[in-house]
Amino acid sequence: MSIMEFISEIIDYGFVQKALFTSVMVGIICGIVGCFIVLRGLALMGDAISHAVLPGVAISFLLDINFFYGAVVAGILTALGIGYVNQNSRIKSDSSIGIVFTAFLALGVLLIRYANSGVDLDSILFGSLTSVQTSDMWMTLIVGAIVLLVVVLFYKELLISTFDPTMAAAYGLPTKLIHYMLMILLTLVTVASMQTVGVVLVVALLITPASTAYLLTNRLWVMLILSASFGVISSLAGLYFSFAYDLDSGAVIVLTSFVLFAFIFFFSPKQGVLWRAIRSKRKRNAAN
Amino acid sequence: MEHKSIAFSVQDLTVSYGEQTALKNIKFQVEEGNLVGVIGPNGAGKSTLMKASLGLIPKDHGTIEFYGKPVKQMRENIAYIPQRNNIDWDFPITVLDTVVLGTYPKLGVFHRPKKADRKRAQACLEQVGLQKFSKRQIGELSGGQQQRVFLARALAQQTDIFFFDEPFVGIDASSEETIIRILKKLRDEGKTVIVIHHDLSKAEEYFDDLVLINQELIEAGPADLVLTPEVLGKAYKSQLPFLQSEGADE
Repeated sequence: MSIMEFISEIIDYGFVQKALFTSVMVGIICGIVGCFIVLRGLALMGDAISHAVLPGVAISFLLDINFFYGAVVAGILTALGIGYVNQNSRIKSDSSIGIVFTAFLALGVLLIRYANSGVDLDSILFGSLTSVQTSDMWMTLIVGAIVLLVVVLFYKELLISTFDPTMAAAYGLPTKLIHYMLMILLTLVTVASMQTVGVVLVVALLITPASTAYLLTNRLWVMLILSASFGVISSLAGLYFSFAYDLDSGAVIVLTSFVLFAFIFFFSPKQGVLWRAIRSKRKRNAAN
Repeated sequence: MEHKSIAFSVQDLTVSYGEQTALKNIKFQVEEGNLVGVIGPNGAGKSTLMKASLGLIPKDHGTIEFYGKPVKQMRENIAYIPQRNNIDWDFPITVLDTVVLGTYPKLGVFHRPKKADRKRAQACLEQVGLQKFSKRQIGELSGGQQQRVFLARALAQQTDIFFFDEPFVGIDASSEETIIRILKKLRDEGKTVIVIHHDLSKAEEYFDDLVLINQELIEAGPADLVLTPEVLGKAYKSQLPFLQSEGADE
């Protein structure tokens, strides 16, 4: 299918519009929340929470409630659990993250089999853009509105508690509360991304576009905008390839964001590996 | 003699990490308008004293007061500059924007820094002589310049009390000179400045009063009275033979 045909399909078919809207929104919110995850050194935490929502999804099916609620509760319990193990023992944070989230993931796998609810484990793990429902679209819209609102309203507090948590605490900001607020946002974004990239790969959409943007700018707000744009580009690629060639949307999204990253990594004017090598060679030549 | 108010007082402060006692029954007072050095050997608990005073780590017991009030009510009136190694120098932020952060404590939630705040930050940056670097990313500066940026940020906070943890470690001589000149100017304007310091050779030149600790309070008072061999001997007991042999080599 050519791009033009694809565009006419978007116009003609409601379900393609839903998928388009959902994936663009997911690209934006993953890109934005991802910036804070990357700058705070919480990439592993992002990975953990995204995997750990699985038992929440399963329990929601058992209780016959929207899987959104169960996933959010599971995500927050994981963040609290990791913090608790970390603070009350000599175990280092990467290990406590590993211990807690694998336990949640394992529990989730068993519960989903037990629930036997016809939940498609594959589509939760790896995403399936072609089956986006109207309710999924609304949920993504609400999550997106919450994320954008929180980041706009608390931009100042997020910036300073990320850059210099000691100063933030010294002038009285509740830095722990801000951390858990960010963990809640992370959980919401993960749940909203389940349809498009799936829980296994969502961490890539969180950290890859943000890291790509990080290589390009020295201002946080520019990094947020760039990161969201890279997220959207990746999501659109995933959408196109999953409809046109029946490829897994999650995998295409992640690979697209990786290609963007690799390009910037080598060719970015400031931090790019290639330009840095050329500059240092010029310097050496000039010195000789 | 004019009566000065007590800007900072520590009563009976004890702090421990697990079973380890870091500070024991520390007690001293700092008058308004003083430039005070906190000195002591490595592991004496100098940073711990500062963090506990600011309520950043829990204390076992003791009372900390700023102008007679607990720290919670005074946070907006205290600027704290922690050690440089706690900062991510790759963070996407420019020099000027780092100084603008100093205007945050007095802005309410939901309020953004305005033009006037940015102007104030610019003026503070000029005071430390770094206006030319305002658009650079902070990691591109030298250690001494970075320390001056953080001093500028503290100035932008417009507080009456300043806490500075080891500002002179690993920085160039001209930055050290700029920083001490500004700290003395703050003192002359009636601000209270408390600085953790470990280089005894400059202690008398830099500070009015000294607080010498080694887990306990050894001595607090005018610099010349603290820097006597007998008093220092009590704090540096184990390191004194080492210090003497180092002097003998020269």
